[in-house]
Order: sequence, then C-alpha cells, then structure tokens
Amino acid sequence: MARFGLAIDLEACIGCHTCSVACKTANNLPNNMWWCNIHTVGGDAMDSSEGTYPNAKLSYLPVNCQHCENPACVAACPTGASFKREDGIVCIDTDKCIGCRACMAACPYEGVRSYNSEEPEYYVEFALGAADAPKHVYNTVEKCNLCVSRVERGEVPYCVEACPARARIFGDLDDPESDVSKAIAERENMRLLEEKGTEPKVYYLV
Amino acid sequence: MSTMNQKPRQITRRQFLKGSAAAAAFAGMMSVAGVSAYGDEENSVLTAAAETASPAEEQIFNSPCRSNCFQSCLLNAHVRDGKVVRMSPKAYPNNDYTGCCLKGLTIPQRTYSNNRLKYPMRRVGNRGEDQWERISWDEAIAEIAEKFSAIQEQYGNRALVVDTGSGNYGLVHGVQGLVNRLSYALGATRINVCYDQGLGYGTDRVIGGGVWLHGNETEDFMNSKVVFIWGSNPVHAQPQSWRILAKAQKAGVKLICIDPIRSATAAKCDEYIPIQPGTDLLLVMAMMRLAIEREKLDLDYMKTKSTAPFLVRKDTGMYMKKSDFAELAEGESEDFYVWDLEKNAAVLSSEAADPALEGEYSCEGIDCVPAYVLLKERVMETDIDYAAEKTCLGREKLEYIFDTYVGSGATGIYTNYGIDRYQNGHLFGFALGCLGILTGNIGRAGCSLSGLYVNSSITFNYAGMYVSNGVLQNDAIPQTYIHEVFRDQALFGEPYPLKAMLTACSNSMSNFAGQNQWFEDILPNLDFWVVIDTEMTDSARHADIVLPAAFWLEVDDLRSNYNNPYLTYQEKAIEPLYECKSDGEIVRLIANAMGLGEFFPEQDEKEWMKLLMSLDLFGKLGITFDRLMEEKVIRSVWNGDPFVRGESAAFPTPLGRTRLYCENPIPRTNYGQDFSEVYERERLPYFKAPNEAWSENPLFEKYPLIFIQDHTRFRSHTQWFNVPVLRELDPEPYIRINPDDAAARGLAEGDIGEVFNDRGHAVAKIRLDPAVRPGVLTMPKGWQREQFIDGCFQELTNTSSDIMACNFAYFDALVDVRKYEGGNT
Repeated sequence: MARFGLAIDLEACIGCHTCSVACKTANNLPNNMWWCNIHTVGGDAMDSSEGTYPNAKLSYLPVNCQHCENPACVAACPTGASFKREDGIVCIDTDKCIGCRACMAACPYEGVRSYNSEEPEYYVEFALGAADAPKHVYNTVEKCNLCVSRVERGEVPYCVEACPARARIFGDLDDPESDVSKAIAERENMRLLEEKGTEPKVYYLV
Repeated sequence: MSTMNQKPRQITRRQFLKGSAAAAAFAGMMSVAGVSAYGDEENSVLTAAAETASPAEEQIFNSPCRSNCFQSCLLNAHVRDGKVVRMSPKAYPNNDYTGCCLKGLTIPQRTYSNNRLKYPMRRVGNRGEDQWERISWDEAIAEIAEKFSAIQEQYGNRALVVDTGSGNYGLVHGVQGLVNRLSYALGATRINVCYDQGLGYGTDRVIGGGVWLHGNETEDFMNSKVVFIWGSNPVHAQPQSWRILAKAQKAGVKLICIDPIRSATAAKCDEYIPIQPGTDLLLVMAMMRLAIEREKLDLDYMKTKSTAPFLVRKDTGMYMKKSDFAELAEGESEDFYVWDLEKNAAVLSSEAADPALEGEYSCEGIDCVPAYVLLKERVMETDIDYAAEKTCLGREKLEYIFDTYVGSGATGIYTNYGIDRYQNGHLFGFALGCLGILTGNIGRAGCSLSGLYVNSSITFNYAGMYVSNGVLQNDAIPQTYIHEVFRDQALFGEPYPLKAMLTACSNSMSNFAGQNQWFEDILPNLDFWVVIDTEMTDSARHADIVLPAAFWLEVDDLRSNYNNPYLTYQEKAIEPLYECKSDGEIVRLIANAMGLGEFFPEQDEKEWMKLLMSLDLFGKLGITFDRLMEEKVIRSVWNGDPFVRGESAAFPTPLGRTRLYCENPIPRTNYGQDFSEVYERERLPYFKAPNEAWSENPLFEKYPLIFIQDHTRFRSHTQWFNVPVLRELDPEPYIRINPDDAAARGLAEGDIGEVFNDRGHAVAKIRLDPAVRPGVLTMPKGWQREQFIDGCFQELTNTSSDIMACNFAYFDALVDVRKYEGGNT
C-alpha cells in the first residue's frame, strides 16, 4: 500500500504561483478560492522583503493541506466527511459535509481550507478545468485532495506537473526508491508545526 | 460524481499492471512510484498523462504561448465540447525547456474573459470615454476602407500609419504576419519599434547579427563557470530561463546578481552586488581599463579572432581594406590590413604571422594604427576611482567583479533589457562585447553575451509573405519621435501629414514612453484610428473603431521560438468566439475593400504557413510543413547543441571576427536625424551618463527618485492586465519604495501615494520594500489607465532617446512621491 506525500524544495521554489494557478484552474475552484497558497517569507505584501537594503531577505513558503498521518480535521469532523484514505490522502466527502467548519477550527494549518459560505461563483459561465474536477458545493468545506483522481490514474497532482522550478516532488513515502523518499532522505527537511503531533506528509526541503 | 466522494481505494503495483492498458498504466505507475513530473529519464509522466488521462471527450491541441515575454512555453490546450477548459505544460524534446508559468495556464480565463472585444464597435463618445456602438463587420470594413482611401488620396499614401508591436508572435496573424503585407501594399508609414533595441544595437557593433542575435542558447549557461545576472530578474520575468540557471547553479556554476534592486533573483543567487542605476556601463568601462592595466588580455583571441590588429586609417577612420588598393574580383572576399611584426610590413590579415596590436604605422603613405590602440586610448579615459564612486561599488568590490569576471574560465552574462532602459544602454552592449574580446569571454561555450537567445538558423520567406502588388514604400518613423510628426504634421520642417492609423498586435498607448504625448500630440491630430485587438486596452479605448481579433487558440499559426530552439505549430483549438476574426482575415477584408483583393486571396492560413516555410534552407534542414503538422514541434537549429554564437556558427561579421572598433556607426534607424556630433565618439565605447536619472542632473534636486518599472510575473508588457484569476493574486497597481524613503515623506504601507514629475503622475497604494534601493522607486508595468486611482505609470516616462539607439529609455526618469490628497490633480 502506498502512502502518498509531497516534498517541496524551498531552495528551488521561486514563489511563482504556477502550482497555485494549475490547482485553481484544473480543479475549477470557485472565485477567490485557492487550495494551494504561496506565502511570502519577508515583508507583509506578496514578494516584498524584510530587513534592510541591501541585505533584505525574501523567500517563499507554499502551503496546501498537509495530508497529516494523524489529521486533526478527521478527529474533529462530526459526520465522517473528513477522512484519510488508505493511501494517506486526506479528503472531504462533500456529500457528508454539513459545513460546520469544525475541521477548519481543528486544523493547525491556517488557510488551507475554504468554506463555501455562498453558492460558489465562477468568472466563466461553463465549467472550466478537468472533466473530473471536483464539485464545489454551498455550505461545504474544501481543500487540496492531492488530485486523487489523477493519483488513481498513476499521475502526479496538477501542482507537481506544472511547477516550472521542479520544486514539488510527489510519490510514495513508503517506497524508499521513490523520488520523494530519496529527496527527503538526502536533503535536510522540515515539516510545519510538528509539535502539534499531526504528522504532516508534506516535507519541506530546506 | 465528485472524486472526493470516492472511497479510499487500494493502489498496488499489481493492480496497475492488470488489464489491457498495461503498458501505459505501467508508465503511470512509474510516476507514482517516484518519478517526478520532469524526471531526467524520459518525459514519463507527461507521456503517460497524454495517453491515459484524457477523458474520451477531451481533445488536446498543441499551443505555444505567444506573448512577448522571452519564453516560448509549450502548452496543451484541453478542449471539451468545443471550449478550451484548461492548459497544461507540454514536454519539449529537451526536457530542460519544458515548463510554463501561471499566465500560460490562464489562457482559457483570458479567452473567455469579459474583457474580450466581441464585435466591431464605433466610438460614439469622446476618446477614452468608453462609449461605443456595435456595428456589423460590413459596416466597419466599409467605413475603414473609405476613410483610409480618402485620407491616402488627399494627403498621400504615407498619411496612413500602420502600427504594430509585439503582442502576438504568430507568423501569420502576429507581428510578423499578414498585416505587413497590407502595410506594404498601401505604402503606409510604419512606426519603428523603439523598445528593447539598445542592448542589441550595441552588441551588433561587435558581433553583428542585428539587434536580436546576441545570446547563446539558454542551455549554454550550463557551460559557464560564473554567470553575472546583470540588471535582470529572471525569477519573476523569465522563470523558464531561470530553471536552467538554477540547474547550472546546482551543478556548481556561481551566480552573481548585479542590480539596483535586491530582486527575487538576487535572493536566489550566490552573491548580490548592489549598483547605482544607470552606471553599469561605467563599470564595464572600468573593467576594460583593469584588463588593460593588469595585462589580463587574451592576446591570442584578440589577434586571431577579433579586429583588434586591423589597421584603422587616420585619414578616414575606416579600416584599411584590400579594396582600398585593388578592385575586388567578382566573388573575391574583402580582407583587412594588419601590421605584421615579422615582415615589418602591412599585410592582409589572412597572411599575417604576427599581427601588431600596438604602434603607429604608415602604409602607402597613409597613417594608421591597430584598432586596439584606439580602444585602449578611449578606455584609458575612464577613471576607475570615479567609476567606483558613481557606481557606489567602491574600489574593492569593483575589482572583485573584474577578478571574478576574468578569472573564472568562462563567464556568461545574463542581461536583457534592464540596462537597455537608459540612454546609454546601447553603449553597455557595445562595451560588454569589447570587454569579451579583451578577455576572451566571447564566442565560445559558457560565454553568452546576454539572456536572450533568438534562433538564427532559420529565416522565413518574408519576401513572399509581405510583397504583393510591387509597392514597397514603407517609410518608418521611430516610436520615440512619432508624436512630434503627429504634432507638427511635418518631419524636420518638411510636410508629413499623418492622419489615420491602423494598430495591430500592439497596445501602443500603454507601451510607448511618455503617455501624455498621446493626449497632447497624437490623438488631437489623428483623424481616424482603427485598433485590432482581443481586449479593451488603453489603445483600443481611445480608437475610433475597434475590431475584435481571434485569440491565440482560435487560429492556426506558426511560431519560431526564442530562448529555446524550436519551431512550433499552433493548432487551432477552438472556433473564434463571438464575432471575432483572425488578424489575417481582418487584414484581408480591409485589403479587399480597398481594391487589393487579388493580392489577398481567401485561403486557409496553412497556405501562408507553407509559403513562409518555402525557402530552400528548410529542405536542407529536413524541416517540412508536413513534418511540422505531424510533430508539431521541431528543433530548428542546424548546428550546435546548445547553440553557441560565434562557435556553432561564425559571427555574421566580415571574416567572422568580433569588432573592437565600429568604423561606421550609423543610427539603428535613420529617419533623417543629425548624428554628426556623436559619430566620431560612437566608433568606440565610452561612458555616457544617463540622460535624466543621474545625480549630476539639476532636476535631481526636484525629483530625487529614479523610476524603474518592474516586470512582475503577472504580466508581459501589458498583456494579461485583466485576467480575473490573476487579479485575485495581484489585484491592483502599487508603488514600491524603500521604507526610509517612505518615512522621509511621511508615507506608510497602504497609504495612497502619488508619484509625479513634470510629465504626469500615477496614483496607487504604497508598498514598503527594503529590497528597493534607497533613491529608487518602482511600479509594476502593464496596468492600464482605468486600473489606477488616477494617472498611469507610463505618464512618468519620457520620449527622449539616444539619437543613435532610438530606444525608449523607460528607467531614465526621475520622480518624487507624496501622499495623495484626492481629486484629479
């Protein structure tokens, strides 16, 4: 059984948002919804640095659902809508979601979930994105699902396919020969908020 | 059914190998097992995706991105029910070139955006008021033909201007396309493009090839030991080139960023060296002096591969040539005299054993010196301490840059159009080339002269494409000067009426510097302006008639890439939306209505593609139209992998030598200007201070900030200015300034600021950023007028340009900023 995870090479990441837009467009996310966000590590605004000239600092941190081994969202969900698949991908079953947002409150990773507080709206009147793009439903919570339908076809998530910096590596964490396992083994890495005990499966290569 | 509703499903290797699609599925399995999307071994995932992932009803079309952004990304256009629903990156044969940016992925959003022009429209309100009436194509074409014809009849053919920019790199429907055929046939005045021209105009003096051919193929940066990323921010502006630079860095190539801004690229490089804007040329001049003083010269290269030993006649300033003394026989090629120290006589370069680089000589009674003597004389005028001071580098850092440049073994330069944006930009290109000659960092692997690679192996049958009725009159007036001709209706005192204009593939009002010249000089004198575009740009908004063009995926077209070595086919993926028509079809309709129908046959655009590819050299390269239809992407470089300019093919100069001395410096475009005053000086590089953005300029007291336009990842020039998905990330223009400069003016993050100078203003939110050099203010370029609170970034720039380069010096501008008090000031 595979156990899927993601490694993100922060040295390679250029904060270009191509992953975010690949995710947004292929999954046909509603207006103003982003499953994959790129945070500027620096000043307050996107792409602004911190420090003083000429020694200012700028880097980027892409954050999407961390697909925790021990997901707080699943524990908090009263209906079983949030669940972890056997392959380790954490999903939300839209049909079971009642929009209570307990998962949002429980998840330590801010901003990875979106709640459809209104009927989702789109700029274009017909559906864009992949034919099997997930549905987006009023009064439900949604987030990155690592493009499960692609993964089931043996493909990588859209964000991984699109990354022009080759900074995103997807694969089976249980297979020591997988690129993702090798990258994690070879490079110094970190995970976000490890102290929360959620065992995230997104590894950041630093 | 939503995939999120699916129950967890076991995935095993075994399962993937079951069933009839085993082979394809296995390829897919490989990716799951751990081949990243772009693993070095094959293009496994992308191939697998194409074979297994596409639901039956989805069609995929080959689509090269075509905005003018230095990259030529290959994309799949995914089409469902006749509509393009998404884009995905498509693999190039060399996977290092595979990739796209966020903009390319939003092509469907741009295709279906509310911003699209849907129908022909006629202006009913005042210019810029955005009041229109919808008209039919028949009505629009009839009116255009009637007005163009009447104006040409009354004022002469040249009173019609055909204005094109770089908005579409399709060879049939884009800037090199059929609109040129129309402009020639009508004998219209053309506007010579004046952006991105300085750097190449300078390097052309050294290596030939015109303004575009200076960089090696991008992959060649892997062969460098050190790369100076100089006045360029590829992390934001050219991410596909950056990928190769980053790969080089990983392989041990040292990346050094020289830039006034501590850019996102600077943050990634091994070293960042801050420099005062507009002084890069001075640094190169000082480096040349150090090379001479410290005898770090590659004498062998200079003698055998450059014109350094060529004798220059003191009487004429020209090289002493074989043809000066004997008429060349038919087919005999020119040669140049050098002083042979062995024979102690002037001999032709091909016969010299030991050519002199120094000394004064006399040949047939004509005094002459080797070209190197003249360069050395010129270079020794540079005061290194002055350079250290004005660049703000200090002597130690300046010498460090020199030592690193000269000592690496192979130094590549990744520079594009940042330094080109000053009035000394062409001299930077010229000097950089000469520095390469002195030190041997030119014409070999790892020593690219710039970050722009344009394929020079193929040329298209432009003559067949452009020439129709035999009329070839096309006077060109530079963009930098066109407003004066509109204003005076005269060129240098001679009447030159300009009354009507057809604009295609260009948002000229937004991209020409000095935007207010449009309001003051051009629009009041322009009786009739037709703009062909896909979107309501600043230009379209001020036109009399706008014609809706089909967007990239709505046509068949051909693209010759740059920054990668491919010829690519745009497969028509969807029908033109609304009432849009392809640029080529619009041109045909206008031509037909103006009585030129016989020269503009109604034919499939593929016939034009065949015509473009009909030159013999395509056959020699084995590139045929049929092959392109089948493969869709063809490497079209005949020598070198990667292609290295001067090595894979000789420099297009006499004897293939690089030139240390320009015997006859003529302006890049000659429209009758008097350049006699600078002619002598321009034969060799020299430090010319920036025109306006210079500390010794008295205006500096009044406007102490140098205004630089950022090329952000969200737009290329002005394209993508209003794609909703992108605007969620980047909603509005902003003013970027160092916190110290902001504090001195009482400005805080989020305040509304007004950037101003004597030419105009721009009002937007303040963004504090310590990456910005104190004394510099930046704004992202490309936003349209209505997206500002007031004014526009392009009001602040000026049309003044170097008389030789004729190139907009966008960054050669001074401004100040204050808190905006509201209202229209």
